[in-house]
Formats: sequence, C-alpha cells, structure tokens
Amino acid sequence: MDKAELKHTLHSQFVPLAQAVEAKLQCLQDNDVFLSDAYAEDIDNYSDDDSLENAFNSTLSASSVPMYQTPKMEEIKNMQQTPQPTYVNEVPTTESINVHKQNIAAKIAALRGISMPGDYLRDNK
Amino acid sequence: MTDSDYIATLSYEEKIIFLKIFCCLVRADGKIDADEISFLKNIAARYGVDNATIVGIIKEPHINYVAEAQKIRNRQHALQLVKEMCVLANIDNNLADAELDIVIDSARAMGVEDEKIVLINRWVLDSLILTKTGEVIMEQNNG
Repeated sequence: MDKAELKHTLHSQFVPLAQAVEAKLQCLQDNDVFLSDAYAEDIDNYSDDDSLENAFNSTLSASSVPMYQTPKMEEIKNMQQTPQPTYVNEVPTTESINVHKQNIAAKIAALRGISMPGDYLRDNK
Repeated sequence: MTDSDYIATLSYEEKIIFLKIFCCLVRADGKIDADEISFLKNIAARYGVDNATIVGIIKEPHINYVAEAQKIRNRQHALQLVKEMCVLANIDNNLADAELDIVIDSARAMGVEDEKIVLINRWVLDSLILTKTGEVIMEQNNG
C-alpha cells in the first residue's frame, strides 16, 4: 500500500469523536437493545408451539449441545397420557364405603349374634 | 495485554521514546487541546515519568521520530506504540495530515505492516467512541 493510499484509508476511518458519540447515542436510543431485528422477526414467525419447539431445538443443535436436551413436544404429550400410578388400594368411593360399612356391620352382627346387619346400622347411626 | 501489562515491560529508554513520539504528535497539527494535554499527563503518570521530564520533551525543538521509533525492536511494544499514537491522533476533533505522517512513518520504522495500522486505527476509533458514549450515558463527562 503506498503512503497516500494508506493516509486516505486512515482519513476515511476518521469521524470527529463528538459526532460519532452523538450518533452512537441516537442508535442506542432508537434500537431495541435486547433483540436484533432479525431475531424479533423470527419469533413473530412462530405461530404454534411445535414450530417454535422445532426452531428452538434446531438452534440448540447448531450451537454447542447442552448436557440437558429439551424433551420434544411429543414426549411431553405422551407423558401426560401415561396412566397415573394407581394406589395399592383403590381410592374409595361413597358407594364402596357404604358397602364396606355393611360388611363390617355384618361381621360385628355375626359376632354379637345379631341376625340383620342392617339392624346394627340402623341402631348405630 | 492490558495497558498496565505492557507499560511494566517497557524499559525507561523505551518509555522516553514513546513520550517523545507522543509529543511530536501533539505538536503536529500546530495546536494542543485539553484532551491532548490530559492524555500526555495521564500517560506520563502511568509511565512513572515526572512532569519536568515531560515538559523538557515537549520543549525539545526537533525530535526525529523515525530515528526514535527504529530503536523499538520488540513487536508487542511496537504495536502498543501504534495503538497509543492512534488514540492521540483521533482523540481530538481533527486528524491532521502531519499526524498521519508521524503515525505511518513511525509504524513503518518499527516494521508494523500497513494493514495492521489500518486495523489498529479502526479498533482504537471504535474503542474511543464506545468509551466516550459510556461516559455520556453514565454522566461521567463534563460536556
């Protein structure tokens, strides 16, 4: 590079500092500092969970892969449809409780020599 | 390498060479503004050189900056000198031809490539703009 060309290049880089600072401040005030325009546009393009999920996963694979992999939406839905764990004994309903009471009453009655379990229930309400 | 790192590696003679070239730059456009004086005072303090020595250098009638620059043989020191020269050249609101002559001739005398000068100058400008912008935002300047 000859000297004249180099001087020209260095001159062309120069902007008076005060002017450059003012322009920079204006730029900071005008723009959203958290999202670039391109990123904001990408978010607007995702109208449903699946495409956002896919975009998120594809972004993850493009960069360094984290130790934790976000479960795919399908996996999450499958988990939700998995039957809930059952109790050792079934959750009692009102009807079953009444049947249970009658059974107990019948046993007590049998022990006490009462012929009708219903008698015990009637007498002990 | 931070400023304090490279300064610690300069010999006293190298510091004087740096200061002589800075003084040439300050005098190059025929005027000395407050920012340039502040830069010189600041850098003299960072280099551990007393004010009397600085004043003596400023008053020296003629400094052969190319001959001085040729004495810098360390690549890192050469790059740091180019960087400091770019700061001084760009810190005021005027970039004089004479200032660019000093930057280019000194850099070439130290074997620094033209492309490297362009890169350093661009980086220095960006840094100055960001620093000054930060000062305004944080209300640290007087302007």
